[in-house]
Amino acid sequence: MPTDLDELFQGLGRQADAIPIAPPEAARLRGRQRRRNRAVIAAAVAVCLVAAGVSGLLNRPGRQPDSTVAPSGPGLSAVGSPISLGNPVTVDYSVTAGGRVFTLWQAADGTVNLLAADLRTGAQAWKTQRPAKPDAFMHLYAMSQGIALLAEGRISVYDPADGRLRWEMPYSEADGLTVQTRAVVRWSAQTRRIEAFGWQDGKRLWSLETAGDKLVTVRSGTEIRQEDLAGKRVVQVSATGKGQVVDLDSGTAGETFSIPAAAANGTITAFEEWLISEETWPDRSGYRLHATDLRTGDTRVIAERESGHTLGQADLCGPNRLCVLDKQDATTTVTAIDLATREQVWEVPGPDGAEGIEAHDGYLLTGGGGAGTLYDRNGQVVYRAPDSAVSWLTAESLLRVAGSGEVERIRVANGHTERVGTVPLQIGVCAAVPDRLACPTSEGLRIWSLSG
Amino acid sequence: MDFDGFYRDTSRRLMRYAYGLTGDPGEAQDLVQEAYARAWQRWRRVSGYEDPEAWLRLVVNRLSTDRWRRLFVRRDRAAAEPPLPPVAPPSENTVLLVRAMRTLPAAHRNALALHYLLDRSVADIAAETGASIGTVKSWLSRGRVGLATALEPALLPEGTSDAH
Repeated sequence: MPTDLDELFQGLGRQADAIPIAPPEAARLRGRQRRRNRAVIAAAVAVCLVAAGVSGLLNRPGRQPDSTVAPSGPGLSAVGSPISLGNPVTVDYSVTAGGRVFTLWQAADGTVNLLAADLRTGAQAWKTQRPAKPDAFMHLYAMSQGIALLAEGRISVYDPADGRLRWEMPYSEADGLTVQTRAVVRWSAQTRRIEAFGWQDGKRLWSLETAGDKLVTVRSGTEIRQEDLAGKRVVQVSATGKGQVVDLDSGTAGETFSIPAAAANGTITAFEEWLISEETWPDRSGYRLHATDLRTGDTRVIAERESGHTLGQADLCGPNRLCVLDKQDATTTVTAIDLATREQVWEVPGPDGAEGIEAHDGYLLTGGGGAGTLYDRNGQVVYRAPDSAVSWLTAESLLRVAGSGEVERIRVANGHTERVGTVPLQIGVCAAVPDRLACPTSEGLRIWSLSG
Repeated sequence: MDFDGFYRDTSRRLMRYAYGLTGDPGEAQDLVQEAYARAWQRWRRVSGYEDPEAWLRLVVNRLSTDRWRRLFVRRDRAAAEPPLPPVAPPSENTVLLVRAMRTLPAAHRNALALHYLLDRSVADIAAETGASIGTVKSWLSRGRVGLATALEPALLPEGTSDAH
């Protein structure tokens, strides 16, 4: 049946007109919330951006031909059949860990769905559901030791092997949470204690009274996937300007040191031996960045920007080197700073509208504003993408899964781009490990081999 | 101009535009809210613009394919906002059109959304995007060809007939 574009767009317009619109109060509330939560979000971004699993635990197909892999394009072969997701409007998370992909979405009636599939065979491993309010806040931490789902004021830990609910405990928006190989670690705003709970049975492994108001996970700066972020240490930071490093294996705290009082909406992050804190002022814009040496407690100012500037994001981009994305309206600048000497190593204009940065082994990927740009260790542009659908695949390669479905692999060293294939209409962000790509699509959850 | 009045007057049109760019009702809701939240944060300045609605469309356009933005927004949205009613799934034709739209370059997709969903003339689109009229015509023409290619043979077996 021939159909003209006018008819098709009229149908699209009718569909759009049926979409509910929130009242203006919701937009104002979001605007206020954006300011308040900025620090929390910046810390969470590092975890969310690496929405994939741990390559070392992946059950790789090995050198033998894999009978579950069917060729479907140059370099991109379907693994197994599409797994039905029940036609959701959108999928919230897809995270890989331990050779599986875990996909989380909420149905229109609020039902939370968590599905696991085997990355090697492409087969569904299990699926679990539970009721929730529509549009409930959800977050997913996936490790080979357990799957932690945050939804509606509780943490639910599932067995990654069979989806069995192991244990649950309360969680509030004001709490802090991090995961590591042995335990789920929660800082309770109510009790002001940091507590570690074993993945298997939720048994309390240790508990520590704190004077802090915030839990900052110490990152190594070499993480690519969520499971790589399993923290060994956290820094508890107080609003009054005190910091203390806590070892997550033993539950022991180090010496207390002084830091600049954290700004109410400022960013605080920690990498290796450095705590990076942002100072802002109530009467003017601009910011000042401090670096505290976690070994000595020594704090120094490493950057200061005048009124009109805002901090986009900071990430470790080499040993003792911090890369900072600065924003002034849509204009951005990327600066590399030596933390030991406080000297600027290089500074280059960033892409207009860039929102964030992800560094790995000295290379720096900026994203947001409709573009993705890769810089080398000297701040030279290695690669530019026409969109920001680019993420780290391995230390040596990036993966671009464009909205059109086009998939490309980019060599970090020289920006060489290899077309891998195409995937159908995506309804959520894809997750990838070095040899597998998993995407929630309009056809269901699809898994492809990236090894050709 | 008051923010609430502006919101009420323009949000339905912005939703059309956002949905045209993304084809995802949840994402369109999120984009619209995000654009207005940003407008509210700088309302004194935005309300003084000659065409604040065009500014909103620019924000939506820039954010529409941005996975990085989602990460910043998702937690805010969840923490701050009451749930919206569920959305009916799109028709088969809409799914096909959305899929075809996603194969197009961003400029072509944007021009088509402005033209077909918001009834903007070529001159309007040129003024809004800063492109020449000839460039906009080229975007629309190439966009239609791209859609026809992507939609065939599913919906347009005998070629595209464009009555616009």
